Amino acid sequence: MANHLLWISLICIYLLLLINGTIFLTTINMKRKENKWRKNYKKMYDLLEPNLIAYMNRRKPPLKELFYNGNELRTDVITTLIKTNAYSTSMSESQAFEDLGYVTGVVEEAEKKITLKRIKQLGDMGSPDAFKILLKATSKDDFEIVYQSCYALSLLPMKEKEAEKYVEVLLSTNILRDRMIEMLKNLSLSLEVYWNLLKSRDTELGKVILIRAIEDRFHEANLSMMKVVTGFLKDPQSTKEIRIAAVVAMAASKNEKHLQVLINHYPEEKDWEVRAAVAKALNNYTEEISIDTIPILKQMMYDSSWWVRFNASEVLARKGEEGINALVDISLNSDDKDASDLAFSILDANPYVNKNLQNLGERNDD
Amino acid sequence: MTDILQHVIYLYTNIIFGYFIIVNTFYISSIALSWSRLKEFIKIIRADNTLFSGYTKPVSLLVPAYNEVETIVENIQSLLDLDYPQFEVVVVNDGSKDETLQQVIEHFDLRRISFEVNKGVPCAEIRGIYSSFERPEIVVVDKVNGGKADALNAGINVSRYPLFCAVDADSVIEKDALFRLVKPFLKYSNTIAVGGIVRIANGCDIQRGIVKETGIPKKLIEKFQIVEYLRAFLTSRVGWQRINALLIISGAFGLFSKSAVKEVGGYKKTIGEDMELTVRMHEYFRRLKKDYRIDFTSDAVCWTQAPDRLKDLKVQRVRWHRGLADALLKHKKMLFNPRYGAVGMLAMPYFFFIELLGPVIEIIGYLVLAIAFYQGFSSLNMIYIFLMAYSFGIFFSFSGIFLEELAYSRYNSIREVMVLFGVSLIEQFVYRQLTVYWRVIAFFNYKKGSKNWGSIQRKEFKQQNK
Repeated sequence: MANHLLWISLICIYLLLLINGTIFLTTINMKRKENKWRKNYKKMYDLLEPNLIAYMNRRKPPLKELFYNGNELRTDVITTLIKTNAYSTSMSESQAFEDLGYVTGVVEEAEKKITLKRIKQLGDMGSPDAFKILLKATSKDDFEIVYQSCYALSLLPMKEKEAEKYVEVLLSTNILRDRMIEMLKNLSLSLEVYWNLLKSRDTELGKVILIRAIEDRFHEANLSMMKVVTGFLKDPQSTKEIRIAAVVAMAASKNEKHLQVLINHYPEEKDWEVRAAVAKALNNYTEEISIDTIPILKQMMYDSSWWVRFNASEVLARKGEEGINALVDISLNSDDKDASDLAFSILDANPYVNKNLQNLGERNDD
Repeated sequence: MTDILQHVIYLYTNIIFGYFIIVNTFYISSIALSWSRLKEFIKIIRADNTLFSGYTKPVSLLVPAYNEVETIVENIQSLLDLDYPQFEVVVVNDGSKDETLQQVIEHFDLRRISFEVNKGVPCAEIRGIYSSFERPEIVVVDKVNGGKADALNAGINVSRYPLFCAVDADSVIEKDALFRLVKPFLKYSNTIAVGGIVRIANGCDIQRGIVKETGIPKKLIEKFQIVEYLRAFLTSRVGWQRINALLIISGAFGLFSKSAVKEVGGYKKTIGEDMELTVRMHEYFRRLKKDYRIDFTSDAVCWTQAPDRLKDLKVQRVRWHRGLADALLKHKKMLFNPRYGAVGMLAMPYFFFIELLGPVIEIIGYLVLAIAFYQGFSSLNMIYIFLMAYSFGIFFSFSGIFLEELAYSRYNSIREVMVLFGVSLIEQFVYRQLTVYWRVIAFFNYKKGSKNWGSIQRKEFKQQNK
């Protein structure tokens, strides 16, 4: 037994000596390689920068050294150079990448083996030629590949037909809803195209993400579009999520008529989350809402949900003298302790109250 | 008598050998898991186009402070300078005896405000809340002293956002660290907590809360801690995360879902409140068979001041070990309980038998070796076992440095990396035995002593660098 222990220990010691020595040498070698790579990167960057800028300003034809040759270092350097200089030169990023053969080269590499690095490169290049390979990558089992491919696709310019395919793929993934909305926003399609995509969706998730993706564009929406959105809000079959998305869209229209529809909808709404969304949406567009809404905002201050009360109090804080008077009234005269305390804390600490009071003071001085 | 002693020593040598095999199997598996996860993780973050995208979630940074007058303003300032779209800094003054509160109020020109506190988790009486119209993103809570856990609970109650990040008042968070830390919350809906990596700030050039250049400190005691931290975070936590069994989200830098923390009852007053909370979250979510994920992002960096005096190091280590004992014993029912999956069957036994009891077994080993030498019946076996232990110790430290170079390569020159390797060789003598001794003291006295704040002398970062 003792002899066995001795031998095991001895073998372990020798093995560990060998392993530790290997780790040491490998690490030092890695460090040396990394330092060398950094040096080469800088050298190549400095060498190619003037030529690339001249080419992107269309002053010179591209040098042979600027073209894609499959070398990782050169691809990294040129990618950084193009992305850094695209804004200050007369050539777009995607055109430069396409003309210098990087899109074709990386697509060919990706067709052999799709990796996260290739996906990133294709997204960075922003060329429509990468659509097919990236769409194909979304069918992989690896979640990271799907996730990054969907994001890279959102950075490419797309036509309606491609966008339709993209939305279908996106909806079939496990990507979180808010990230999907961000990806759809990245597409920068025309409102009409987004609208057509929305019309062809039949799931709750599809409708919600498309409404939310165009929330910043609803001020351009026509009456028939807004009629459909109002329908989402009023339809008893609509889910809570769709109603919340409709609330956001209607507020984003910045149209007094639609904001009034929202305010009128508030007392009828059973779900507190939708009511809170109404109050929050009003908070984002306080400039557009009329002073006549103050009585309904005061009514919101007595809602059973804290979030509705809080959002309403923030709207009042931004509504100038009338809003502040409403808060003072609730704070001093209300029998409802929750509402009274909230109004007091908003008057005491909300920066908009302070700003409004300062403006009021200046006006009185004048 | 001599025969009995010799027999006991022989028996213990065999026991320690068996223990060794188990411990090192655990360690080697952990390194293998960490290596595989880190390689995968690095590929993901290097190719991540979404890292700095506009989609994030607002975060409340909770800074519990007790007698932190030296560093508090600098720390808040560095937090306010973070690159992140929406966050607030909630400083909780836990009844400091020094001028911490006054210093913060005066520096940021705050005033007492009326604030509706939502008491979602229990905490001691809040004496006042301070903020300003100009800087509504800073909120200072002044409360009766109740310990760090209590201060964090008060911070949770006052915070506005759905995620909160617990930050130590003596740490510096890298400017983009929140972007990195929040990623798992944006990718997996079941994420409830994410830990970031803590690195040693000693020796680094830190100006106005920004790490300008990393470096190796001069004192040996600080160098040892760099190697220790690399080993702990890169060869251990990364691996545990891989099997969703990470038991510690460091109190110095961790991001939590507020609703999940409230669901489990917030922080509990204990010495190692960070570990206790993480273990309790595992216990709760696994018991109720709820889908959850506790993640670790080794690219989200927080720099902390390591103690540079033996006295302070001892206080820290005793405290850590007491915290470990407290957290494990509070949840001992999880030990070898298959209901808790990888946490019950692997993580808990590892922390219990290796991290908690390991120092006791090791120190007995040293005593036995000394007795054997003294009595003149030390065997070659014993010497080989100790040599083996030494070689394994070096292997774990070398692995930490290797993984650091593979993934992040924060130390610039070959010389600095060589220094770390050199330090790993000598760390096994005296330093290791000293920390083992402190942990043994802590083990036998874990119920004694304060459950409040540890007192380690802090310095301003600029002073630290000098």
